[in-house]
Amino acid sequence: MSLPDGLRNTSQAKNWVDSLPLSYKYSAGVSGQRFAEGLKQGKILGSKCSKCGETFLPPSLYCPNCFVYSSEYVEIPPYGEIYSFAEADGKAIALIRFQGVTGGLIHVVKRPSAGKLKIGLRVSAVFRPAEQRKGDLTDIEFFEIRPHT
Amino acid sequence: MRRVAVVGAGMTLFRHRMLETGKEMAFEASRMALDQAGLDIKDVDSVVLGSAPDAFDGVHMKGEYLLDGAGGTRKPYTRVFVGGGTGVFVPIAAWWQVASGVADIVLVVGEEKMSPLLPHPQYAFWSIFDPILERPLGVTLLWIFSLEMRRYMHVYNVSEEDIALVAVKNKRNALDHPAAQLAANITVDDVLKSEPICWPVKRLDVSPTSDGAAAVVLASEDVARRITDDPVWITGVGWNVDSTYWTNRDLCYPEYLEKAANMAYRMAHISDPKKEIDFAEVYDPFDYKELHHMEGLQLARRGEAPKLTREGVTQRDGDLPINPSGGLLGVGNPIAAAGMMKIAEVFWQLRGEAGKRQVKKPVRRGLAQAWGDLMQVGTVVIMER
Repeated sequence: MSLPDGLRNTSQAKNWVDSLPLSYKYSAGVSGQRFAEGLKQGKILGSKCSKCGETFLPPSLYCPNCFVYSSEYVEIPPYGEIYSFAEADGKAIALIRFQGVTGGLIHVVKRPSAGKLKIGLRVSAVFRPAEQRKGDLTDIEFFEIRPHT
Repeated sequence: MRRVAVVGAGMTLFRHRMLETGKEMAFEASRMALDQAGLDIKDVDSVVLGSAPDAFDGVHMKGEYLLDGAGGTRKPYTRVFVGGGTGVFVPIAAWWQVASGVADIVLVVGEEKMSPLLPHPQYAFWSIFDPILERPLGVTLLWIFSLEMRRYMHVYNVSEEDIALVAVKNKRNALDHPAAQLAANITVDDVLKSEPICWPVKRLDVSPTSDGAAAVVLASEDVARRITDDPVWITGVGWNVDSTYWTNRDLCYPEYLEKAANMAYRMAHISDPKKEIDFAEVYDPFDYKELHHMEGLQLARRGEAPKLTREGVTQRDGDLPINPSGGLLGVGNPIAAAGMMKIAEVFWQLRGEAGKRQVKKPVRRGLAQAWGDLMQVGTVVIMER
């Protein structure tokens, strides 16, 4: 079997670099805008389905199960639980779930000064001072482990 | 093959920029279509979504991103894509499923959110050009349309004025469309004096870029007869694609569209489309394309479409109304949603539900068509009462 020339001379392949300089301006969306406004006020907002009553975080315009409009936005207490987490480069990211809420938030968790991060630890959101909030996810600076109560 | 009916349709506003995300728009159009059909998401067996390049929304794997907004979670779900032809191809892909018996009820969704891309949605097309043969020239898509339009004008001796009449008609028709983005009362002179983009293509020859979604529900005959007294039947579908090399195509006559149309006409037992099609929603991202496409669909002889337009035949009260919705030039051009808007318009017209847009003559059979990929795909759907 003999290979075509092109396959034998791959080191000769001419190539050049091109770039497509594009940037994006995304809409927050109907529910995304409410979520962002909530964060700016120091609140975590979820949405409630008008049919099954399930609460979703992040909030959604519609219930993905019943496929009907959400009836209202509800404030979710900023206390959750670590469902799982990832650690690298001195930083930890966790999926935080909230009682009675479908979904959750992925956010930075501040590592405890003593002991280790564990699944099941209870955490609470630490918001930036009001004047520093921009209406996005970073308005929550991090979640921290709640002291034993 | 089983008979397939359209039983509901819905759409969002078409606008330059919508607050709604792509998912939210997909939901709103889908919900409206399900409501018109009197169905719920649990009744839906399968979902087919159409959306054009990911580069517009700026979310890669857009089909997956849009899943829950299109009601596809935990269902058989497919995204189909043939560029600008997608909007009329989505119902074809859904038709396969109902006609074959795989599904009884299919939700069909077209979505496009073009506004995120900066500096302009047009720049997404940079990446479609061949890196060796085309990109070094620094051309945009408009240059290609300019080549086509000029060739068409040359071969049939068509004037800019005749082509401008299409933009005037469609933007005026769109005044009666509640979702329209660029409805206007303009004159031929306004079109001729609008900013040249790449002569002979001028600003008002071109449809806008838009955000929007549209949806329909397809059902098998059994289901359709149970849930509505007024089903609209899909009686013909066709699609065809030509060479991707600009250099190897006839820029004056869309042969691929003729083939797509003939496929649909054969299925619908149509031998003389000009007489047997009552009205059509043909793809009009540019005014000359409406003329081009009328000829490819054989609704006009070659070179005859400008004359029919001049004589008023294609007006809403004419013998062969073309784009009574207002088309892409008037309603807007959120690519996959724009084709689906045409499907919805044919449905509403056939049911007599088009309100102020209702064509004057009684209609029994309509056609929707879209065009795209690398400007060489034709997609056609024929619907009947």
